[in-house]
Amino acid sequence: MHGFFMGAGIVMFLLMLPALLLVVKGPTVIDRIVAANVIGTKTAVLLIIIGTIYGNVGMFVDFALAYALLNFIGSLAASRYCQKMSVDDQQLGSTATKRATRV
Amino acid sequence: MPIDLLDILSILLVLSGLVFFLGASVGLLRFPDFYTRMHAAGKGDTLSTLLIMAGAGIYELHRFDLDDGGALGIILVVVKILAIGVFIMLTSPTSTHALMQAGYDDQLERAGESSEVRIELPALHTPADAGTPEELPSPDEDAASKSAMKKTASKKAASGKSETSKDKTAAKKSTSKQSPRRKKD
Repeated sequence: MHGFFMGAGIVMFLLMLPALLLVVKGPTVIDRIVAANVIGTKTAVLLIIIGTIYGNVGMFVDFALAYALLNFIGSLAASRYCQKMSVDDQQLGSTATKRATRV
Repeated sequence: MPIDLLDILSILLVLSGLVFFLGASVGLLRFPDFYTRMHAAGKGDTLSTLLIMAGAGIYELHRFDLDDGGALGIILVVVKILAIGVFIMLTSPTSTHALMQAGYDDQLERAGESSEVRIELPALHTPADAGTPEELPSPDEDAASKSAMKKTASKKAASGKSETSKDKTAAKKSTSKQSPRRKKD
């Protein structure tokens, strides 16, 4: 059973590599933020799997909870920052679009 | 035997979570668009997280024994794992929605109809613009290949209207380059 959880953790790590690839080569900034959000959520899960392997889940659960919370806060902050940046870019032009006036 | 049943249930939950995470990763790589990548990332990520955490919690529950003194600790750990699952179930769609709103306000192009959206907005908001009618795509230009669309986009960017174009390169350029900010009149 420990071997199964070890294999599950390794497979999860290998499946996190495409998200890392999207962070590196993502076409837009928000693609990178989405991929980093996926990696952060999966890291919280991976911490629980590591705790299961070590037989000490009670310690790793708190790490995972803190990591998920920080990931959520960071993702929200990055999305707000990009939204504000995009609105500023829209206000650069002479024609104020409808979305820029709505926000 | 209930312990074997719990093990089998845990293995099934973790395996299905890995399958859903595989779908999320393949969707992140293969989908052509920001919005569709967002779709794959949000749903697959949330569901696979919930499934794998439920599997780990059930596996942790099989160490539960009433005669043992640490039964309450195991219950507490399982409740914490479920609390993380509920927390991620609440926060992952929230962050997905916030990022999608940011991308929509950024006016990122959709995969199929980028040229229509890119051309339509200046025609809507500045109808007195003289350069607008020849920039509208003719139907044969709609049916043309992607290189032709890219050529019209580059022509449009060369004609000085690049601040309203939602081309990928223009978006990348606008995010990388710090242009001086003018006040909105």
